[in-house]
Parts: sequence; structure tokens; C-alpha cells
Amino acid sequence: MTVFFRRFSCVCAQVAVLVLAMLWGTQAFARVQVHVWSATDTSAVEPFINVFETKYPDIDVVYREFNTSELYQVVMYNIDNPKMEADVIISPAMDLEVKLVNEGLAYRFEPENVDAIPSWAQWRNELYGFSFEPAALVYNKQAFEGLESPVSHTDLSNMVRDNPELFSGKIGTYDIRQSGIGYFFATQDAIQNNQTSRLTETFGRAGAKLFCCSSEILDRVATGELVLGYNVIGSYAMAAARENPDIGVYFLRDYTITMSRTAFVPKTSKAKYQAQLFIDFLLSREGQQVLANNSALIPINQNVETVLTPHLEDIPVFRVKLGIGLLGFQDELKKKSFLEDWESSILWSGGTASPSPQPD
Amino acid sequence: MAVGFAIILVSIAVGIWSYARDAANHSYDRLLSGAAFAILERTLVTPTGPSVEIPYSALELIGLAESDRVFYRIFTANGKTLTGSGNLPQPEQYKPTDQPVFFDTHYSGEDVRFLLQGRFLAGAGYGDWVVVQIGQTRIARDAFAREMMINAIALLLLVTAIGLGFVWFGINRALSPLIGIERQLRYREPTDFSPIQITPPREVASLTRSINGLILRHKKSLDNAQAFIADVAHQTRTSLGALQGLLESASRQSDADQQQARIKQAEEQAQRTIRLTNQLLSHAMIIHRADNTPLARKVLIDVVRTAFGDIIRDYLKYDTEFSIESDLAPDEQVFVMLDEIGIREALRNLVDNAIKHGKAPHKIDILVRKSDEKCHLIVDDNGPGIDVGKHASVLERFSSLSTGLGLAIVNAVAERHHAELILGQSPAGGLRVEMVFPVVEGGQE
Repeated sequence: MTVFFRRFSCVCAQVAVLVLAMLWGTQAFARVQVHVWSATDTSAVEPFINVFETKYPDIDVVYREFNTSELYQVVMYNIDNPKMEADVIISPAMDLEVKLVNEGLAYRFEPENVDAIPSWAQWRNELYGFSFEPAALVYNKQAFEGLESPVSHTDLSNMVRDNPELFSGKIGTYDIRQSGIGYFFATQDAIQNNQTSRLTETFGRAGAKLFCCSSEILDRVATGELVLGYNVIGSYAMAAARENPDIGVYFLRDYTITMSRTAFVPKTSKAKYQAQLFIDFLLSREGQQVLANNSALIPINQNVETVLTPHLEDIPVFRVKLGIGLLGFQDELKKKSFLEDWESSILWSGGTASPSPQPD
Repeated sequence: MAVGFAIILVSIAVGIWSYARDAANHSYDRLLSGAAFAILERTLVTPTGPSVEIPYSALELIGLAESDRVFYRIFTANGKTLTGSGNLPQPEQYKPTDQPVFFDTHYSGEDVRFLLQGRFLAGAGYGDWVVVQIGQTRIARDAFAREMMINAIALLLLVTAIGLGFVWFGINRALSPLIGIERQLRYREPTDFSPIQITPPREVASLTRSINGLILRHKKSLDNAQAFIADVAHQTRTSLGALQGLLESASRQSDADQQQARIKQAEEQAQRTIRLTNQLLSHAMIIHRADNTPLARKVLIDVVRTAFGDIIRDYLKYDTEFSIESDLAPDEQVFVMLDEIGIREALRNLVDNAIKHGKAPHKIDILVRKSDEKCHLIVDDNGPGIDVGKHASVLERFSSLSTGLGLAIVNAVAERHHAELILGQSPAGGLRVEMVFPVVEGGQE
């Protein structure tokens, strides 16, 4: 596996780690490279890629990590560039992926294991969802001791309002101006719940801190710097909670936005066959099991046992359907006005963005 | 026929395709229209100019066509894009209007159907058109049209197949009695003249009757021919036998006078034989003509006069008085369907009979008369006549009166003309032969 870390604050900084190239020596040059551009923590997909490369020794996966918005911009910018080297594009921001596919960038094919993917998580035989990721609340268990669990988003809003001393400056959520997945969650919230602006405003009053990525929030909740993280990617949260007993993961009972990380093969790909193999394996029972066992990601195949399985009965998941509808909040004017509203709410008492070099 | 059928099928298919495409367009155009209305409703004038907030439902609505990509652009009359893709194709000479304008084009690698719809936006010192353009790829439309098309064609083919099945069944059913008839006729012995034994359906009953009628007529004709040949054989043998007897007898006579008398008798016998042969051939000709020559529409009296002229020439050596009369007005013409030669043969035989059986001086009167819708041809002679009781039998060939074939020929001619033949007594005490012909319409010609 070849990994490029690409940080949006320092675009030129790329670190190539030629792990397998060293193992395979000169043979590596005969292998086909599959460039995977993804807005997914490298650590979350690394185990999967290792299994894939073992299964297909002729394929060398070159993994490059992006932030969701950045990935969208890079791909959109290279829309007509035949030299774009990406062979697989993966992002949790379903709306941005739909927008890219709607531009006609995606190559159409039907993976072998497409039947295992629910219809809400695939579009046009071009875009395929492979994970099941609810938006979660994360909290610091010590700080929350003695507090009653909120049932709904309104309860959460009241709870923050009623406990200013606990929450002031200690709530973390996405800076949706920078994070595509944060914007996606926020807009889905707005569609689901007309009280969302009140919640945002409550966060603003409480001096909520804004972050680029789930990992940033999780780290700070673990240390107690934050007591509550809102709309954190559930798979990352549960993985963090496994490692740090101070982190609690909670799903509100009125609705839980659930997205699927999606992948497509761009038409410009020069290794379409190998890219298809990659997605085939990603959707296969075996690949899904690898995700469940070895990675932080939660597979979409409901037959595969995951960390989430015991909770599923309690979580009223709202599955966001892939489709043209997702373009609604991607309209420039609409996005502008939505962001303006959001800013005026969240920045009410000077909540500050905290740009961070970590990806989603 | 197959080509014609194929052409019909193809034209129906083309019709269905255009109908299906229209139907698909109508259905999915409503989605586009609905979305355009929803968007236009949310256009507004702000202090900085026109603006729009695209409702989430608008795109959700278009998204009902699940696999289709969507492009949109909202722009002002002067072409300034408010939001959306700035480079969408425009129809030629588009002028903003509140009527929807649809067009199909190729865009972004796919067939796309676009809608343009405008709204005049006014307020706060501003007044101008705002146009929303929405495009949707044709995947759902084409799939819908294709499905309709396939279903309709499948139905069409099914109905066609069923129809052809019925036709095949019907033809087979209708023709099955014919097959039965064919089988009966094919294996029939040449001597078998029994009618076809079949219980026919209505449709072929008359055919069966006709065939059976034909068989009967054929049998009758064959019977006639056989009887005739038997008669001819018998009569010829008898006559020639008599002739030979006389000649042998003459050759044995030593006395010259006796021998001369025998030779004279033999000559007479030879003449009778010639006459008989002529009559037989005449009769055969009448029968043959009846089967082969159509009747012609003629004036009876004219035909009689012409024929009689010929006949008289042959009988000039006998002491005979002939007369022909007609009770018709001189300019009245009565038409009858006639066989001229048949009439002549009949007259010739009557004259021949009268001269042969009567005594000189002979008197033969011919009378043509008209009554109602009939035309009568009457031939009277002054011979010995025939008893009323024997009238029926003399009409047969070689009756006991040994009249030869004469009256049989007349009878055959009458039958041939569908005329009634009446035998009676003439005013001179001889035989009266009357043929009553039906008159045909259309007198003057």
C-alpha cells in the first residue's frame, strides 16, 4: 500500500510510504496502481486495503486522504482533465458525491455484490454506498454523571440551555463552512427537524467550538476539554469509545441521520477494471466482514454483525437516500443563505472556528 | 400477404412508439413543470436584485425519476445566472415567457430534456423576467416508453397470434367437408355414379348438391350414349343384314327379271340404310350440340324460312305442296333462344317423315303463331297420322312404329330448346307436330 497524507493546510506536504513496494521489491513496478482518493481516515481503511492487496497481489492501492470539501473541489476542478489519476473516489458526504456523479463524472458498472446494497445507498449504477454510519452524540462520561439522557433534539437543546456552567465553551461540532460532511449533517438536520435553528442557536449561546473533523472532537471529549460533541460520525465515535472508556456514544431517540460512505469510479480512470475489483470487494460479504472486524467503519450489509448491531433496535435511523434531492442544499444561493443563517446562530456569542490539520 | 401484414405491424409499432414517447414525456414533463413552479414561487426581489431559494422539495420531486441526472439554471432576462450551471444549452431565440418551453438536446454525454419557464418578477422598483431552466436525462422517460412499447407490442403480437390461430382453425373447419368430398371422389370407381354420401355443413351443401347433380347428368348422358350406341349397332347390323340377304338372293336368281326385282329391293334397302345412318348422325349431332353449343337469340319465323328453303330443294322430286304462314304482324318480331341447325334438323325430319309415310300428293303446312309469352311452331301433314295412344312411344328412338329416329330427333331438339312438344291431328287428317317456345324479352333490335 502506498499512502499519501494530504493536508489541506499544507497542500504540498505529501508523504509517500511505500510499504508494499519494499516488500515486493522490483516486481512492484509491474503491478497496476489503483489510486484511491478518499475522505476517510487512513487508519480506518488500511486494514481493508491490506486484505485487498493480499487477495489481488497484482494490484497496488495508492491511497490519498482528503477532507470532504477538498476532495470535492479537487475532483470538480479536474472534471475535464484526462490526467486526473484517481481510480476510486470515496466520501461520506453523500450530497457532494451525488453532485459529482450528476456532473457525469462517474463510470457506470454493476458490481457483483450489488444485491447486498440497499437501494437507498446506490444511485444510477455509478455510486455505491458501503458503510452504515449514523450521526452520534459523544460525551464525556465523567462530566455527564447524574444528568438525565435527552430523548430528542429539543431535549438536548433544553439541556444545554439549562446547564450553562457545564456546557459553556465545552460543546464541539463541525465547522460546516469547511467540512462537507458537517454541512451534510446540518442540512439533513434542517430537513428533518424544524427546531434545528434553535439547537444551533443554543450551541451558539453556549459558546460551542467548531472543528474540521470528527477526530478532533473525539480527542477533546476524551480529555474533558469538551463535554459534548454533536453530529460526530458514529463509526469513528464507537471506535474511539472502545479505546477510551471516558467517551460515551449516544443516539438521540427522535431521529438519527444515517449516511453511507459512497464510492465511484471516475470515467477518467485508467485502471477501471482494477477499480471495479476494489469496489466489488468493498461490497462483498468478505470485504464487509473485514470492515466490521478490522476497521472503525461499520459495513452496510445488515447480515454482518457489527458494534452497532445491539443498538440498532433503539436507534430510529433516518437513512439519507442517494439521489437528486441531495442537490437541494448544494445550490450556491441556498448554501450561501444556509451558511449565513448558521453563522449568525452559532457565532452569536463569538463561538470560534478552530481550524485543524486533521481530516475527517 | 406476409409483407403486407409486416408493413401493418411495423406501422402500428411506429405509432405505438410515438404514442409511448409522448405519454412518457407528458408524465415526466409534469415533474419538471412542478419543480419549475415550486422554484419560481420562491423567487423574490431583494435589495441586491432578484434572488431565489430553491425549495428542497423541488429537486426531490424531480428525483422521483430515480436514475436521472438533473441540471438547472436560474437566470434573468439579460442572461445573468442567479444560480445553477451557467453553461446549459438554450433553444434558439428564447424569449422569457410564463409558458413552459420544452426541448430535447444532447448535453453532458446524455440525452437531456430541458424545460424553460419564466416569471415576471416585480417589486421595490424592480421589474424583470426570471427564468428557470431544468434539464433531466431521458433514462426514466425512455425506460417508461420502452416498457409501454414492449407491453403494447407483446399484446399486439398475442392478439395477432390468437387471430391467426382462429383463422387457421376456421379455415380447417370450413374446408374439412371438402376434404371428405375430395377423398370420396378420389377413390371412386369410374362406374360408380352413386351420389356423394356426406352430411355437409350449410356452407358446402349446395356444392355437394351440385356435384351430385353433375354426377347424375353425367350418368344420364353416359346412359344415353350407351343406349344410342346399342341402338345404332342393332339398327345398322339389321339393315346391312337385310341388304346382304337381298343381294345374295339376287345373285342366286337365274331369272333375269327376278334378279332385277331383287336388285331393286336391295337398292331400296341401301337407301333406307343411308337414311337411317343420316338420321343417326343427325340425332347424335343434336345431342352433341345440346351439350356444346349455346343458344342464340333469333326471330323464329326467319330461321324457319331459311331452313325450309334448304329442305325444299332436297324434296323437289316428290309431289309435295309446301306452305309457310305466320299470324304475326309483318313488322312484329318475336325473339326465341334458338339453335338454328337444330331447328333445321327437326324440320327436315318432319318433312322426311311426312313424305316417307304419306302418299302423294303430299301437303305440308308450317304455321308460326304467338300466344301470351309463347311462340308456336306448327307443322301439319296429310299423312296417316299417329294414334293418340302411341304419341308418347313414338318420341323414343326406334319405336315399334318403325318411324326411325325422326320424331326422336324432333323431341331432342324440343328438349334442347326447353320447348313443349305436342303431337296432334292436322286439319288434313295427318299428323300435327307443335313446338311451343318461350319468348325472350327485348323484342325490337
